[in-house]
Amino acid sequence: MSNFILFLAGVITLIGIYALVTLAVNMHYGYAGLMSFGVVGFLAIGAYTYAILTVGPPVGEDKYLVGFNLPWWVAFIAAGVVTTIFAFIIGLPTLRVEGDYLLIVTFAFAEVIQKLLSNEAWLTNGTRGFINIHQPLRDLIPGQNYQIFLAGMVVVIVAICYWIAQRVGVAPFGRTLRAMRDNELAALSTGKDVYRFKMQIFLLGAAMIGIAGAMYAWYMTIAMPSIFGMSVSFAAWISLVIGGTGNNKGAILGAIILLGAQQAVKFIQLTPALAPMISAIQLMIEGLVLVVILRYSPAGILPEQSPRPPRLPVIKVGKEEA
Amino acid sequence: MGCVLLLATVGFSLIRRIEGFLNIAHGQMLTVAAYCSYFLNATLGWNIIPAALVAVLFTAVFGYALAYIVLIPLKRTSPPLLIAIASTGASYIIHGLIELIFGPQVKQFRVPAMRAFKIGDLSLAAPDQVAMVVAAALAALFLHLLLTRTETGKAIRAMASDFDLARIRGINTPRLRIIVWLIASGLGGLAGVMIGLIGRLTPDMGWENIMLIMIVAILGGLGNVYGAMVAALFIGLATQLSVMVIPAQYSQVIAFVLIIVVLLFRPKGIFKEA
Amino acid sequence: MSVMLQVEGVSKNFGGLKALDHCTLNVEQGSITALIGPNGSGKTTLFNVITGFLPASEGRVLFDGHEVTGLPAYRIANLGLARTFQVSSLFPKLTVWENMLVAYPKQEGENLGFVFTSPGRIRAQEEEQIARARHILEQIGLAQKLEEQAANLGAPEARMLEIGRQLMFSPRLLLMDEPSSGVNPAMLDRLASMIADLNKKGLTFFIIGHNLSFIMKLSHYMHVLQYGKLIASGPPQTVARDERVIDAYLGVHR
Repeated sequence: MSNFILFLAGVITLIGIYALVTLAVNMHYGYAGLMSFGVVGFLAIGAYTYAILTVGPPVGEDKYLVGFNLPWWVAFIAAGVVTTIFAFIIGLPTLRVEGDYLLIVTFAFAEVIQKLLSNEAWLTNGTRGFINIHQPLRDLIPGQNYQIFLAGMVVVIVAICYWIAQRVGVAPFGRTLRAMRDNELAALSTGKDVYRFKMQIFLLGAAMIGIAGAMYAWYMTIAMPSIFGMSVSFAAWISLVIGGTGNNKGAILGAIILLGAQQAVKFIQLTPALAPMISAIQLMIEGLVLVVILRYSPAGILPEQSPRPPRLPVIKVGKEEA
Repeated sequence: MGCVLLLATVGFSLIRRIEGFLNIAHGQMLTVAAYCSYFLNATLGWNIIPAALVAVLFTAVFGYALAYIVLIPLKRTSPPLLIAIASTGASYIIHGLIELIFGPQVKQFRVPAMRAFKIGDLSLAAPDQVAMVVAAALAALFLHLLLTRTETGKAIRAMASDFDLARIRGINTPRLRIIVWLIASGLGGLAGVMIGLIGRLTPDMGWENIMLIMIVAILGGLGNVYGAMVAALFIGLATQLSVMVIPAQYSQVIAFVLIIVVLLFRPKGIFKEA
Repeated sequence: MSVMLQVEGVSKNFGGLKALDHCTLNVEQGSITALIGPNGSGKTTLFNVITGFLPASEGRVLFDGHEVTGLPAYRIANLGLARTFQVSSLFPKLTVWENMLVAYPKQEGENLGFVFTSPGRIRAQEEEQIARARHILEQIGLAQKLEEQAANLGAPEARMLEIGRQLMFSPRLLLMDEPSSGVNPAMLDRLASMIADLNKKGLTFFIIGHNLSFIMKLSHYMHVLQYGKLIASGPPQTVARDERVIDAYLGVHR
């Protein structure tokens, strides 16, 4: 029984991380209409920043030069900050122009990051990556209970971010974002500095992905270039499409569904001969699902209904007038 | 290499121009053609040239089918950015299929090995590479002539500048759209076959190259076919040259940095978006 | 009366095409001024240059004495120069009340920091503005549709909402690009009286018109554009009898 709970804790942790990423993607696309395909790039940066800052001095075959050995919470915050800086650099030229550019550039960015991480061994220990990454408060909590603790931590952090995302969506800021997304010209002529809005939400989303990256490092305890491939970005997008673009609950729901399905597949372990095929098939099916959903139900499960507009002002005024 | 990029990107640019979205599945055209040729060549024992031709034709039709079955119906319900995501989904499907059918191992065409021309001690290029450059140049020339001299070509260009106007003027847009897809996919396929000739085939081919294709397309101005050609040659040259100075894995990084720099100063790419 | 808008020698080239050719015109404060001309004469292009959506190749634009040439569109808007678009100026996926509320100036809630630090202040502002919005919506007959998605509105209602939104924005000069297009004749009168009303309350209008009867009844002054050049200016009666103007329109219809 406890094995199952441990397994569940692990799954919840992973779902939480992906949910956070999907939430960020929703803020980018669902709110502001920004399509960034470089999600995994930010994730990698977050994870690696955390790893680099917390890891000890190089040992044995390690090729990296510096280990900062900082406390986990410093690295955690740094993960978010560094990712935001990168997002800023990317956003600077691309947010001014058509959305396609952002897509291509972020796509390229993710690939480039992956290459850089593999090659810059002096910083990242190359393809070997980092292992035994320091997890927060590990020493305080004995053995197996730690998994549950970690799951709890992740859930709390995701909940906070969800709250943030909701507040942003409900506020005039979110409203203007959606207006911008619907009709940029009209938004401009209403005096909105569209570029500033885009940049701000882009940075916010990126910061969240960075934090998710650090959490990913917690969960996996390793950080290697190979785990940060395009399929991760893709997973976030599928989650969003399934769950409902424009809806934060949908983002989380989508992540749950997708990861649930992925984990379920793990149980369908057929003969070992088929194992290498499984990943190919899995991606294929995901692609198929995506296309089918886009074809027949593009809005996903939960309606676009961007966080429900506050009824409060309306009702209050109504009451007064009545 | 620049030539290969050229072929691949021109098609991509065309689709972007006519259909308005980024067809990421275009990258898979390369893979499809390459593997089709492989199948005909290595498995069935055909000579490489007819195999390649058939493969290209097959890919052309395949691309068209993909478009009409999957992508175009989406235009009614989804914004272009989402269609791009859908095309990624399609890419995964294709990639998965190819990997399932052919396996993930590296494959090669069965072609007689050829030795490079030598001038003194410098080996220039093997006959097959020269043949490829020639073929690419011919294809580009053919395309150019098609676009400028023939009725069909001019109609395509009209469609490219203003879809609705072209339709009103009586140009047979549905049929032309099909042709555009066929050409674009076919060119992509041709590029794939060439890559197969230069080196090796892996199921990842499409994915590896799509990024470069997109970068080239941007540099040339999204949708600008000629710009794409120039940009392709430029990038191809730049990456080949830079290999002498910087380790090879960085070629993509160079392209990426280049793009950021260019976008900072000339947001529409080096050439206008035509 | 002072001049609200001055366009001086504005030209706009697209490659080899001269869309605007040294246009010089004024819009008086408090007036309803019209911009007419056959199709393709550059009217919308001129609007785009004035409002900052297109850079001018030559010339200057002054709004209430301030030079606005080359400023980004949103800055110009914030100075009090608003415009509508020939295609919709609405935000389709937003509800009617959201469309309205996007438009009020100086929104505290648009500052990301304030969203978290001063929610009370934001809510107060929002409530104030929604009261204002309801008031306006009642005047334009959309009060029932508060929570309706803008995309679901019929064409005349949509036009009304556009005007409502401009009112929320309270500009000093409103440029309207073919407001009569897509409006049925019954609504046209209402539209005209709304514009006249607002004008009396102090809003200056500069309107591109294609429906000549509509625009001639409404406007105090007219400018006529042809092939990017200003060919006539004056009160509607005078302009209507100007030979060059008649020529321009008939020439096209021939």
